[in-house]
Amino acid sequence: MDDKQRLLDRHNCEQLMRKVVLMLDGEMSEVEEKDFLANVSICNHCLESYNIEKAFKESICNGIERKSISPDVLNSIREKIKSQLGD
Amino acid sequence: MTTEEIIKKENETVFEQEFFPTADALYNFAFHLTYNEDDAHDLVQDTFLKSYRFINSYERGTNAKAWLFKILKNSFINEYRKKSRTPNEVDYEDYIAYQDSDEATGIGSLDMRSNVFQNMMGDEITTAINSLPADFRTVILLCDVEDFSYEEIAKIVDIPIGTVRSRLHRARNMLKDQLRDYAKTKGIKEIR
Repeated sequence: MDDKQRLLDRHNCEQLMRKVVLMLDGEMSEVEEKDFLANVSICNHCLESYNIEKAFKESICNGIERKSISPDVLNSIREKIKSQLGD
Repeated sequence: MTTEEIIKKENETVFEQEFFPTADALYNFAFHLTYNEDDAHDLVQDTFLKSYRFINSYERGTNAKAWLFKILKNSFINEYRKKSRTPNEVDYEDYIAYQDSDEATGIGSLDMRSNVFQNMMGDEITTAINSLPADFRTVILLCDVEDFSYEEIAKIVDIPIGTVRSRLHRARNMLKDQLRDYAKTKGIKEIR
């Protein structure tokens, strides 16, 4: 029995889908990640669902407007902290 | 150098090397909580002033970013949100129950394809996130934007890890609903 067949024999879409967010949120160990990716790659349904969730997370991360603090405000805060440190 | 001068120098180093480098991330978080630049600046300033006051409880070289985010989040909840709370701002956590069955399916019942998200504009993503109730917006910002772990988010927000997961799940489904509606109005086609 080859590796792919062994994976297919124990493949469970529902169980794997429970783990998709853990994988994408970086909540898996290296071993768990490797096992997840091996399992997801043998099932088109799981792979498609995984890719949708991945694209969604990337769209949030890359799409949101990123704001930076005004340098003047940061300098003002820095001065206030320095004056308190000097007390 | 006196002991006082040594402590002052050490504290200055902590601020310059560990605290101030997080200023942009803190401001971004504050802005998306308040939607207002002045309020966000006030929140960040308040956070740094409080961090000075409580600096003895900070262990140098540990997770400064998570420590400061927790201070900012508490300031937002205890001071800013109380002042500005309007009748339609409801803590959804009070009545939304965690649904295992929803989580089991991963993508829920939403009919989406990855190309739909890839075609989204930043403005729509930002609008969708900003429209979430604060509790849900907070976990999305901490997880998907700032890349905190569930454990860190649990400590920052002061809720169990299970609640972090349920809020994330619910918040993401709300976002998907909104983005799907947007995609439909813009005629972004789903590939089947």
